[in-house]
Amino acid sequence: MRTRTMLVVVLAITAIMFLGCPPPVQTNPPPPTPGVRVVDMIPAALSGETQQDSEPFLAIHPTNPQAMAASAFTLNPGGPSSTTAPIFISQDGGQTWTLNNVVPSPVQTIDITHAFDAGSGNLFGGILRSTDGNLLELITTNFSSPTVMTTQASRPDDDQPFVRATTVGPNNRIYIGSNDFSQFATTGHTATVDVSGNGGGSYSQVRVESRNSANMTACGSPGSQDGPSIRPSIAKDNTIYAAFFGWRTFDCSTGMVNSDVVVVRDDSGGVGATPFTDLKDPNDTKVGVRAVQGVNIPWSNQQTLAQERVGSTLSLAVDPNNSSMVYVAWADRVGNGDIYTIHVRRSTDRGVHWSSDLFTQQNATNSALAVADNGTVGLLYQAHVGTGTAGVWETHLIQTKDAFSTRQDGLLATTPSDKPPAQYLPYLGDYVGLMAVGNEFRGVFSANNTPDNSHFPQGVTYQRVADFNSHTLGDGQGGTVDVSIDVFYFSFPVMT
Amino acid sequence: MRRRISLSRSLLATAVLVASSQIAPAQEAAPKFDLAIVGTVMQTGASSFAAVPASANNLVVRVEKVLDKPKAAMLKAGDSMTMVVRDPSHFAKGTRAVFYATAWIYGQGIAAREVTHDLVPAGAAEAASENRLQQLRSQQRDQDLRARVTAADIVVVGKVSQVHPWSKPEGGIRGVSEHNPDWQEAVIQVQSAIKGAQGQNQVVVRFPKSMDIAWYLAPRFQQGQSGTFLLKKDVVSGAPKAMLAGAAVQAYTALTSVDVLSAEDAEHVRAIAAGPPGHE
Repeated sequence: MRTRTMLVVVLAITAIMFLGCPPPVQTNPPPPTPGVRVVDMIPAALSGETQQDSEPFLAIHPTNPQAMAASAFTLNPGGPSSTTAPIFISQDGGQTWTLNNVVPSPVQTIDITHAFDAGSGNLFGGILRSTDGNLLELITTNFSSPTVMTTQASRPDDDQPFVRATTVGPNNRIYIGSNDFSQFATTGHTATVDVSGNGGGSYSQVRVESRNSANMTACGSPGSQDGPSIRPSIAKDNTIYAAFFGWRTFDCSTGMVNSDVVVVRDDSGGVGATPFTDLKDPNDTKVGVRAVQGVNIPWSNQQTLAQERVGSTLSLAVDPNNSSMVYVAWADRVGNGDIYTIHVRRSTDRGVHWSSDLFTQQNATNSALAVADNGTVGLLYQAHVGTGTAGVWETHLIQTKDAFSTRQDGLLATTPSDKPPAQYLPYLGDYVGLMAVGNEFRGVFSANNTPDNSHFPQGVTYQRVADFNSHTLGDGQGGTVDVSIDVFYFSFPVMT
Repeated sequence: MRRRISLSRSLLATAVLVASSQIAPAQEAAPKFDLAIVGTVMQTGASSFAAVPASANNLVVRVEKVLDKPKAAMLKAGDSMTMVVRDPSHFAKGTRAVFYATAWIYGQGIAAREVTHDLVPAGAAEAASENRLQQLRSQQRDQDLRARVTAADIVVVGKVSQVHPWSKPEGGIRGVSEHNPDWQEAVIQVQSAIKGAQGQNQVVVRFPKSMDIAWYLAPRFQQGQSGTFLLKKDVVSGAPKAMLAGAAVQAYTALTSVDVLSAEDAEHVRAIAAGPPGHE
C-alpha cells in the first residue's frame, strides 16, 4: 500500500515537471554540517556593546579543552579610566563566553595574542600596551581569576607579538614572534622570535633573518626591516618552525613590497646555542628556506580590500605528529586584477623543499592554518565577494587530507562588508585564530553581527539580546542597538 | 556660588546616608568606580551566575536602582548581580546599600568588585544616593583633571590656525608598521597660558591621522578649532623639534581625548591648575 502511494506521488510530480512547469530554482544554501557550532561571543550582559571587536585570537587549555581564552580589540566596558583590557573566557567548550578584564593595558590593547602551555595551563600573552605601544610578555597561572596578568618582560619599538607555547619536562617554553625595530638602524634583521625555556623567567631574542632586508632610507628612515608577521608553530616532538616575510624592497611611493616568505626551523626547541639555524636554503646556503621568493605585497594602511587594510597575512602550521610536514599560507598581489590573493604551499621534508601553490583564493585575507591529529589540514580565511552594498565577507574553513586535491569547504559566515562603517583599522583583523584539538577545529573570526540566519549557513547562537525575525539587536531594556563587528567562535568537526 | 550650593546639597545628602560609609574625605583620592547601584543583599557567599568563582566575599544583590553603569552593560532594576565585597561581615541578607564598584565579569550577568559602599536604611530618599553619586563623580573628574594638568608640560587656551602633514626629518621615524601614526601638525595661536608657555604666541602640536587601532581615539585638530589644550612635549614621534616660521621649536602632543577640552572649560582648568588639591 505504502509503495503504491509513493509511486503515485512520484508519477504525479514527474507529470507536473513535464507539463509546462518551469524547473525549480535551487536557492537554498547547503544544509549545515552536523556538529558545527558558531557562537557570537559578546556576553548577554554586554548587549549594548557596539565596538569593533576585530583581530580575534584563541587559546585552548591543555588538560581541560572545555576551557579557552580568546581576545580581540574589545574595550574594557568600564571606559576611559579603566586600567586593564579584557580577554574572553569559556569554561564550557565555547557555548558561553565571559569577559575578564585582566590584561595590563588601559582600556584595550593594540595587539594581543596568547597561548597556554602544554602542562598545567599557564596562559602566556604578548601584547602591545595601549598607552605607549610597548611590547609586554605576560603570564597568568589562572586565566579566570581577577588577578591582572604579570608582566615578565617588556620593550619598546616592537610589532605584532605572536605567541606559541609548550611544555618539555618541567619547563614551559614560550615562543613570541615579533618585528623588533631595535634592529632597524643596525642589522635590519627585525624578524625576531623571543624564546624562553624557563616559563618566561627570561627571554632571549633570536634574529631569524639572515639576508638583507628592505632598505627604508628612501622613505626618510635610514634603516632596514622585515614585515611585521613572524609566526612560530610547534610539533609534538618539539621541532619548532617559524615563518616570516623577508622584505627585500619597499617602494615608498606605492607601498609595494617585494618579499620572500622565509621558513626557519629548530630541531631542539630553540633553546640551544644556535637557535633556528637547522634549515638552510639549498640555493644560497643561508639560514632560512625561501618557500617562495620575490612576491609583491601591497602594504596599505588604508581601506583597500573593502573596508580592510592589507599587507601582513601569514600563517604557518606543522603537523603535530609528523614534524616533516609543514604548511604555509600568505597573501600577495598576483597582478591578475586581484587586490590580495591567499596562497598555500607545503613541505614534506622538514621545510627544505616546497610545493607550488596547492590552493589560492583571490581577494581574501586573514589566513590561518592548523593541522589535526589525523593529519587533516584546516585553512580559515575571509574572502571579499561582490561590490558596494552587495559586497560580503565570506568566512571559510577549508579542510583537506590530500594537499588540497579534494577539500571540504565549510562556509561559516557571509556578512555585509559595507556595514558598519569602520571605527578603525583593522576592520576584521590582521589575523584570525585557528587551532585543532582532538576531533575538532576551533577558531575565532570577526564579522558584522546582524542577527540574520542567512548570514550564518552553519547556524549561529547569540548570547547578547538579538531578534532573528526583525534582524535587530537589543539592549535588554527595550532599546535597539546598532550593528557592529563582533567576534565569533566556532567548532567544526575534523574531516575523517 | 553655584558650586558651593551644589556641594552643600551633596553634603546634606551624604548625611542622610547612614554611617559606615567608607568613602574617603574630599581631600583624599576619590574612589574610582564604573558602576553604582542601590541594592539589597539577597544571599551571602553565593553568586548570581555560574561563571563567577565561588568566594565567601560574594554577595547576590538585587538591583533596586541603577545609578550609573557602563553604557554597554545590560543591568536594570529587578536584576540580580554578584557583588564581591571587601569585608562580607558588613553584610547580611536584607542589607540595603549603595554599592560603588568596578565591573569584573560580564557573562550571563554581571559580577563587580566593590570599591566602597554606603548602607542605606529602608525608606531613605533615593535622591540622596544620586546626589552622593554626583559628588563623587565631580571629585573623580577634578582629580583626573588635576592629574592631567600636572602631567602636562603646558596648558594653553587658543585657536588652531593651520593644519598640515608633518614632513618627517631624516632619521626621525623607525620603520614601517601598521601602527605608524601618519603625523600631522597643528599650529595653535595662544590666547592665554594656564600652565607654562609664557611668552609663546604659537605652539606646534603633532597628532596622528592614522585610522589604526593605536591612534583612532586620539584627537584630530581642525583649522579654526578653539579649545583648552593640555599638551606634553613630543616624546612619541622620535623628533622633538618642529619648524615654526623658520625656527626650530619644541613640538607637543595631545594624544587622548581628555587632553583637548572646550574653550569654555578654560576657567575650570585654570582653577584646578591654580588651587591646591581638594580646594578647587
